[in-house]
Amino acid sequence: MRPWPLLFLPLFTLAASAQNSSAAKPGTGTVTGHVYCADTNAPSRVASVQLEPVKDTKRSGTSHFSGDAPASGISRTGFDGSFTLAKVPPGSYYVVASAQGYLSPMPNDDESDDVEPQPPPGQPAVVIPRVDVQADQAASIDIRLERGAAISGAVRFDDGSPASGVMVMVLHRSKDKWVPSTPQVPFAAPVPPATDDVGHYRVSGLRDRDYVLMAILSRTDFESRGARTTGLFGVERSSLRIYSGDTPHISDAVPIKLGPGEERSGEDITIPLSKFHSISGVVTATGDGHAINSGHLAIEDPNDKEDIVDAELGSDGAFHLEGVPEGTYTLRVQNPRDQRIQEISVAGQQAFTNEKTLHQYGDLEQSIKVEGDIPNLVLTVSQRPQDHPTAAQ
Amino acid sequence: MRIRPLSILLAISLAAAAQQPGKKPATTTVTGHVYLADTNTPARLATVMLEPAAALDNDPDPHPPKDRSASLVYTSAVQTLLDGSFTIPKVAPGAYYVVAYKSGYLSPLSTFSEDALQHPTADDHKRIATILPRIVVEARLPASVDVRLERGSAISGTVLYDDGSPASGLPVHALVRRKDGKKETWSPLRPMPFALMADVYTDDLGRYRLTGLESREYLVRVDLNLQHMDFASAPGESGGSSSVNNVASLAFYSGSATRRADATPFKLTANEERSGEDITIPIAKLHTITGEVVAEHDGHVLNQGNVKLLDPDDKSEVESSKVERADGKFHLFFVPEGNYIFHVDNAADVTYEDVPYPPGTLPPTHEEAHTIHAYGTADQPLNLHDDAPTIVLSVPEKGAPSLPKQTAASQ
Repeated sequence: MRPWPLLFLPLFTLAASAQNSSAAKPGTGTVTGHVYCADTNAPSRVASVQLEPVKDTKRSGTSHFSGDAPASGISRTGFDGSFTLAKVPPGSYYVVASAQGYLSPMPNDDESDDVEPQPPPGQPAVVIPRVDVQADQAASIDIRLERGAAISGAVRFDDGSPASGVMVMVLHRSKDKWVPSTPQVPFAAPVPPATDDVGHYRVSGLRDRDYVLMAILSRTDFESRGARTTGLFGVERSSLRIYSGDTPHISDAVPIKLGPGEERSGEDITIPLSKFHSISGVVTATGDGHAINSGHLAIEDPNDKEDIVDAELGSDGAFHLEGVPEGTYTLRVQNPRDQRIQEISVAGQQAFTNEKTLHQYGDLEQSIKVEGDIPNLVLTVSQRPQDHPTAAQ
Repeated sequence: MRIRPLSILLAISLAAAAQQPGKKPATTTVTGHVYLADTNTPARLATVMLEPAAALDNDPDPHPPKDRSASLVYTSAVQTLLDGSFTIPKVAPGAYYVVAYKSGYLSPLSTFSEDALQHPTADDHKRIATILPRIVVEARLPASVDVRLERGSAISGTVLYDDGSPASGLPVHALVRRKDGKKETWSPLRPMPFALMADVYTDDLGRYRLTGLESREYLVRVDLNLQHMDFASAPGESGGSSSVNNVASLAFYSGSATRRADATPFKLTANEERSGEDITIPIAKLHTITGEVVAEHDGHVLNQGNVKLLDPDDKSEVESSKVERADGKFHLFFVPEGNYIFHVDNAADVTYEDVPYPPGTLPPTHEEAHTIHAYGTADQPLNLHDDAPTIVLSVPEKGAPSLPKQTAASQ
């Protein structure tokens, strides 16, 4: 699709004369206002403001986020906290403002992308400002953002050295599962943030409730996929997670209770390297024993059915999983396949790659007892029976 | 996952693109360990890559390839295991520099400009050769190399607005002085590949921390971009498009300067942990300028023109604006107090015509400007110490000299 330069968007402005100060699209409205920080009464600068259409549903009578694209783009507030959203089709909207460190109604949502967030029992509701937009009219609304709670601390290995470049996410309980709740602020730094060079992390803009921290140690290799292809492709060769309480088992995680606007520091996580073992090996095909170059590996805790470590197979067919404590686990190989990387050149110059599956194999699941490092594990996968209808007869 | 190509790799891949894909050359495996020199401990989850030496130096390759296809480089990058060890598979024969990256530690190539790495001078070669381990890989012979990473210095501080509230979510860069051709400029350090150390942003309290820096002179720059992102979707179509419109791009420097020339550079010593490099964003001293471009001979307002605000000392562009289609005026936002020169060019009386795109395109038409009468350029000084709502810039007929004029913001 042709990208639309901004200047070309007002299709109906030809009729508008040069003296007309606003290039508003007829039949649409404008929303203006200010965003303030409730804790300091100062304007919230460079905050993002967007409109989400309110959709009334018949079944419950409650209002929902539509899940559609924002109605009129995202605006950043100026130095006085002011914003203007123009060319808004008439209708009812939530005005969603987000700024780093402050509570925003949408981002902290439970998995309910489409349901208005409900407060925890006994807590006041998070009020999302609403605005009604009418054609050729300007609506005005001021928004006050409440400061959220923050958690900070350091991630270290058990020899005391800092664990830098580790992603730290906060999880909250939704129904009976812990789910990610790291706030997303448009235009802001990518989240989840990684620990800095001394292992320090900080997550802000959190609602008051119970959280569990999850530190993710991910080892990613970057491979070239061919002579004609520019750039490298990342393959996650090992990924392990450590939760609050320094445990790899989410069921053993120690929750942290945050009060409203609480500034909680010293929530350190230690990665228990000395308790870890590694599992290395190769996935091969039955018959000729050739290495399988694509697929997903996971070590699952049979008690809570959560993955401890997972990884992708690399082009050499080998795997090296780190961070498995002593215990008995379920090892899974999922979607193993022989894959060929095809290079497709465009105009004889630029190229991109296409993954072509040559053979698909059946998933593998087996129990594995870990008492120490396992250096040379050979896993064998076989052709899926349905791929060989003749053999089945 | 598709990732951003490293510039060096890009150059190599483009060179390789001219070649025919042939039989794979015999390759080997390079293994080794990465250690942290300050603690003598393994560097866990450090990134290691091989940069083909031929791209960085002029030395003749000790093993020149027999056919061209053998020179194909399958470069890759790997992360070290928790014991600091690494294995790089499928390395083609040749000479390589071993480059390792770890946050907080010196990344030797970061202080080189893109240009120096693409077209290294003799001095650049010498520097690269002294700071990077070099290995020669032969076909089918496993090679091994150990790398020690030196701890770098760090700069930290807080960015606040002038009312004391934190300036959160803003990107912060360390600038170094280096040669760009014949000119010396202050420019950001080369980012590490694969966004390993992507831009540093201020946190919700306005704090930042820049690490892995070598001992030399630095400036810190904070960028503030005010943007508006527009979404558009065609009726009846799923999806749509978005465009980001920059309202203003501002930069603030060490010493809370609004111009780089006024910034206060500082020298970082080896292993220095420098804190308190705070920057204040002086909102009260930023002003808005609005004005019109008029014809010098009769004073009528022109509906096209580019207006640039130049630094009077080095004539560098501070900000620029166009005469807006909507109101016939130009607008410059957040201009710091001080002396400037307005430079007007491309001034003209124009009419706009609706030009259709091919059928089925959205939007169906776009506007094209047709020049009725073009004017010459003009320069006009400005002393800005308050909001300036009524600037009038006169442009002469083409070829005619502009009359010197004095503009003061408070007129």
